[in-house]
Amino acid sequence: MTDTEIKTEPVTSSVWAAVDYRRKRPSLSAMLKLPGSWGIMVGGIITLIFIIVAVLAPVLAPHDPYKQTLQHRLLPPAWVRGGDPSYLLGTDALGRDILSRLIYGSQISLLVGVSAVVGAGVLGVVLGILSAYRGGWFDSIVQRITEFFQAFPFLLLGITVMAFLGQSVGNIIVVLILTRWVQFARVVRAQVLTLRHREYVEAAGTMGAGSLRTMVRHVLPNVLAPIIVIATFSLATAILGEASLSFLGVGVPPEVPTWGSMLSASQQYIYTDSWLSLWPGLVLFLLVIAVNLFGDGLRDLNDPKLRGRR
Amino acid sequence: MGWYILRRLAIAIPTMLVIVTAVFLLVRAIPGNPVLMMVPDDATPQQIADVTHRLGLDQPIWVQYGKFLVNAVHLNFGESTRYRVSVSSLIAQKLPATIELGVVAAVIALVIGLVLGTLAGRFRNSWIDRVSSVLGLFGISAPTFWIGMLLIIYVGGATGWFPTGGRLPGDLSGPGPTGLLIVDTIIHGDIAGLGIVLQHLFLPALTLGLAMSGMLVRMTRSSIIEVAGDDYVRTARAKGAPEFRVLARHTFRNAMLPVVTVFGMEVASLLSGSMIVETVFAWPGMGSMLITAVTARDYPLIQGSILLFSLIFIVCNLLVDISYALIDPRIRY
Repeated sequence: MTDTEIKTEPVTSSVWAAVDYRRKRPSLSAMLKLPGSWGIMVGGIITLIFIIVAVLAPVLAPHDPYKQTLQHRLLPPAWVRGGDPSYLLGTDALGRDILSRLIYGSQISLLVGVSAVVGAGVLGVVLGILSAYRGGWFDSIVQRITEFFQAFPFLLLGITVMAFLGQSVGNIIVVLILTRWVQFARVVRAQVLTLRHREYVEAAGTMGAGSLRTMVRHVLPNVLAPIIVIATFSLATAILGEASLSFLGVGVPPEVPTWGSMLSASQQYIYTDSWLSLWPGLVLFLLVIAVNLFGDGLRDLNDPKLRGRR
Repeated sequence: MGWYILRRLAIAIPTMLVIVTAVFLLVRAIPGNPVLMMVPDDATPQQIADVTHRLGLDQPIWVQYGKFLVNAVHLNFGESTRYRVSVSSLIAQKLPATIELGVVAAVIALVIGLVLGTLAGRFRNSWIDRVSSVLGLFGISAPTFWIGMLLIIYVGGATGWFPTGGRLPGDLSGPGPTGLLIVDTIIHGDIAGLGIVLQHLFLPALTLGLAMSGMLVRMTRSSIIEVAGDDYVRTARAKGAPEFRVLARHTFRNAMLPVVTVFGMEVASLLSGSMIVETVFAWPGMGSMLITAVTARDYPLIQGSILLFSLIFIVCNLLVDISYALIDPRIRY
């Protein structure tokens, strides 16, 4: 059987209902009466810019993000009186360049976010498929576990694991995978349950395709659209999650520049040097809102209920 | 109804057991010997052996597990290695602050979410609808700690009206007996005190409430729009019911069901958010205590706090489920 014969079909509305309770939430572009692709375009472009900045960090950063020059500590942004043009956004309490630290911070945010989403996606898809195919006790155990992880407060789980396993980038990714795989598993399970008795899936089995081949070649392509949408929402949540843990001081080790730990360190100077608190929050907010806009747009594009409504 | 609550309780107990077991195992998964963190650096092997024996760490693991379970049921989590007092007394001291913050934040979130969401749904595409949609996206995408810091800079610092740290001015302590300062000041008839308490509470509760309200605004709006097209709403209007009555009695009540579900899901984010808000505003509650305990590697205190947070979480979920059944008469017990 060649690739062109693999059948794909629109994802059913019931699966979209399971994607996220946010499905019901109208997207921003719909509310502001903007064209549907607006969110995908703007969100996508901003996200892309962040990715480029992260990759090119060593080239783009004007200073070494770790280098401390104490005579230049707590400089305001360049355009404010007392600012230094070579430190565009100013410096922190140890005289490190804020812009450079923001640029390097995007590496951690994206690295942690993307790794967590890929890990959670693989774990969730595999467990979702197994759950739907095996059924019985395996299915019910996986269902109970997903219910638990879906409801349990993320930060509590995060702090618990980090408190006992110690702070490292790897452990943060583990925590985020633990909390994000559930959505993938639920949606994939729901979709596989509706697809597995379709004629073309059964036909593949009749023609001698093993269950693994049937899954990968015939069922998986049909689950791909919701997986991609969940992945974007999960990316936004994972980026916020990493920042929250780092802000609380239980995330990435303190010497690594991250937006969360920059915000945490800025608290001491919140009244005197408030720009320290402004920049990291602003870039974090911008990235998360861009990823969310992108996800909203993708979801609306794929949702048969919304298609053609606008 | 009684049976329904019992059945839900029956589900909650194994969940709690799983959490207790997980915490027990995690403590044992700590790399290195936990005893070495509790004794001074120059402790003799004899002292180390004594502490190991006192903590029961020289016993077989299932004996340790059994004792841990029995102690957890009695809310006995041992002694904090940092403060040298029992974990349960520390928790009892900090818990009211967290409860007060959480409840007031939930009320703020509900008021913002329901009022703005209902107006946005009723007057679609008006300016209030746009405001609510922007607020909704902001609430979902802006990190809670950043909202808090912005409020500290631009509201607390700029106006000077609202203190940005602690529950009371440094030299005061709560009058008791409940530890919930709003309740206590009202009991004592202390109006000036109540004012001070509310001033301190305003910014932290607003931060937490704003973070929660984003989802509620969006959910209420779409739910109101969905219900507004239903037959019974048209019937009410055809009968000549005034617009306010149509909105309040017929639309709003029926639109509340999905909103309650979302509110229930947001309880988890309320707990997560409280840890962040307490850290930002130096709020002396369970959340900031847990973070301090983690930094100080105070394992008995970490254990106790995590288990208590989990218990609060399970109880809240139970309450949400019960209220759901109360609101929707179609749910059978």
